[in-house]
Amino acid sequence: MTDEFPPFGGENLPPRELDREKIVQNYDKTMVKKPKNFLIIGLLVIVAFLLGIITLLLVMPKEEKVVLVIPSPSPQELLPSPAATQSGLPINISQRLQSLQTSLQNVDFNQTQFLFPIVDFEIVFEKDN
Amino acid sequence: MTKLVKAILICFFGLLIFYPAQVLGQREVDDYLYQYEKYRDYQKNFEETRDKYLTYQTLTAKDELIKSGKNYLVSRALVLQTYLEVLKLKIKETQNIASDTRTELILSLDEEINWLKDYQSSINNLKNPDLAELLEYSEKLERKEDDYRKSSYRVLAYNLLGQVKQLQQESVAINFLLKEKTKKNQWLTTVTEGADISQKYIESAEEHLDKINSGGVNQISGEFTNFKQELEKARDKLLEILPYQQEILKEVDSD
Repeated sequence: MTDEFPPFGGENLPPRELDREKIVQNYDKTMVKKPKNFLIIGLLVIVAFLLGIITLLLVMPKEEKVVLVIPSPSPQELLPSPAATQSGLPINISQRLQSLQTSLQNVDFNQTQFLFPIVDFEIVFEKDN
Repeated sequence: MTKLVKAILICFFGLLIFYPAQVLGQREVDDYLYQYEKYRDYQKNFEETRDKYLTYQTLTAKDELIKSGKNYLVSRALVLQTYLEVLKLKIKETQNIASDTRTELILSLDEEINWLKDYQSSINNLKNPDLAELLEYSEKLERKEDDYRKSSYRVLAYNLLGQVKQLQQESVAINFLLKEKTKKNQWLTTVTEGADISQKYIESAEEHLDKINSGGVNQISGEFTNFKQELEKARDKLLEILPYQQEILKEVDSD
């Protein structure tokens, strides 16, 4: 007579054979994160865009820039300057006046480039005899 | 690695949104000017094939005329489309314009731009049209001429008005700053009165603009000329008082 105990905790149950292929597959899925494709595509888009911008900048005609020559500041000017001049006016008021003058002179009343195009609205296909 | 890539993507799209609009705006203007040049070529080609057909009256000449006619109609629509896109850009850039006016103009331009795109597609999809059919298409666009001209006047008017108003406001702001510091009352009176006169010219220009908005296309051209004249007077007045403002500033700084 053998002592046979009822199954408890699985001691007397036959061992379950583990599926080795599944272990390997699950291991791959859980342990390694593959970079998502869209992120790689996104990076490629950025690179293409930057190349396009650089090409555009090289091809576009360069406008003449006005070079503002600023004289070296005196020792007093190197001290932290207030937002206003000694008279109490904003420090940039002279620049504002200069900018106003330039803008007023540059208002283009002719707007030649933006006038209505000269196109034929009435098109004749067959002239009457 | 993934977080870094995501951060780069976010920065990239952020930059894309704030990319200088000037580059894009210039491209639209260039596109319009380019299409305008091409239109002239198509126009010339159309006139040549038409003259040839009228002279020889052959089937081959007629086929050539129909082909050149199609291209000509499409090119005309494309010029107008790119022009309206430039107008749309201008109204978006315009300062000192009521937001509902800006919205109304943009929506109106968008509607016409879409109409022109559909129009071009319809012509391109025509299979073996005859001259009568092409004429019918041409007349469809012909009926839109007044609306397009009016839109053009309105947009250019609002754009000019916005520029001059902004400059007048800047002049007034500078006067306000100078007023508190100067003892030169005579000069101050000159610049203040000058800014007020400039404002009166602007208001007069706005009255002409109301007529441009409400008038027929025959009336608009004259009103637009008057409108520009008033704005020019407003601008000239601001230029006139500028030396006084500069002198007041010198006087204040020297005290």
